[in-house]
Amino acid sequence: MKTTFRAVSACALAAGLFTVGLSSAKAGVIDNELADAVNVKLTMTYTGNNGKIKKMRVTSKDLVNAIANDWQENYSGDRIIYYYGNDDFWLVDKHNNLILDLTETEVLYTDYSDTSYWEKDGKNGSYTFRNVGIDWEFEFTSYGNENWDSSTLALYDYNLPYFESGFGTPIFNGRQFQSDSTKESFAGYGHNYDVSKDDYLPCVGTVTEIGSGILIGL
Amino acid sequence: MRIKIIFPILLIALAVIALALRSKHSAPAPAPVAAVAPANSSAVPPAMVMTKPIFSNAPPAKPILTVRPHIDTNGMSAHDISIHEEIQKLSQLQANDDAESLHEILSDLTNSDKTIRAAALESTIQFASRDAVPYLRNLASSTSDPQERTNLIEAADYLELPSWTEIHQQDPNARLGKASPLANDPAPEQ
Repeated sequence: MKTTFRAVSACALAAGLFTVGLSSAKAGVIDNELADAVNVKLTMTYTGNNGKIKKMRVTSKDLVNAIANDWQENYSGDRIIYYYGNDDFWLVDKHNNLILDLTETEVLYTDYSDTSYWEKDGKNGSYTFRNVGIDWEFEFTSYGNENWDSSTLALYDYNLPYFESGFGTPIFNGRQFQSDSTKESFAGYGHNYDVSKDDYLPCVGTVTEIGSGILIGL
Repeated sequence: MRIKIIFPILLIALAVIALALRSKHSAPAPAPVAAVAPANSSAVPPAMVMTKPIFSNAPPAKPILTVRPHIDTNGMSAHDISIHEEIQKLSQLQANDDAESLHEILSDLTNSDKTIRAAALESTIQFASRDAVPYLRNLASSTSDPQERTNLIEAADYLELPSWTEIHQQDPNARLGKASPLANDPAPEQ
């Protein structure tokens, strides 16, 4: 679906209707592009020094804290989003300012491929879509992929099944409400330097991306 | 001769009285303008027409304003959009660390809309505060829906696990290899 949103943006840009800077103050839209909140909910398992199995939780807030730790920055209150403006993951602050391109810095990378896709287009640019596919690779390294070993927190999985759905209302006066959500099951491994240095630890859970909002100038 | 004069006068007078009485009992003819529809009758939406309440003790009818939506929802109600906006608000609140934000998130766990309740539970997890656990367990005990009850209990169980941040804060130098990775053994056994 990412390509669909790109196409809409490209058409708007070509028509000279795209108005950068008229960003909605609403969450979910940044600079007139949809921004999905990324919610990570994982459980990492390891063996304690007494031989007992232990678990810890890893949420999006932990990912942000790990990034802040490794980049020596204060990212308190920031959150991770998937930004359709350039199809990258970003760290954004409370005011929806784009702070750090996590894809560009190789902190968070995914490789979605919709293997089974369905879309129904309606009048005035409205649409509904659903697709299932494979995320060929999900990789999070708090200090960047080049620094896997020294990253405080790292997560890796491949061939993750995912489900995505969304819709857009008919365009009226150049405005359209768009919604998108993606959910994938994570069953991979990660490392947590605090408990196991660079050992691989089993990690399971879900990663969801959800966002919606009104886009203008379409 | 006098009779010939008086009698017609009396007849005319009676006729005038009879006409006057007749006109008193009959309704006036409707105004012609009422019978002709205005050319641009659609200019005034029917919703704007005020009608007299049927019952005299009924509250005065509020003027019904036709508010044109910003977007043509085409089947998507304003309620649906408000749900999405609430979910977006929750996704921003979950990044905060203050008690007020947590309170606002928790208050949506009892929202009448099931979608918002589910989003609020996800935001509670992402807020990642153990302060929410008693509330989640208490709410689970009074929730009739078995699936929602299970979700609440599972969320509480998940939040009781130590977080990566908590473990890291106990030994922030571990990454630099200054401490034995398992020396602190901070996580409780499962």
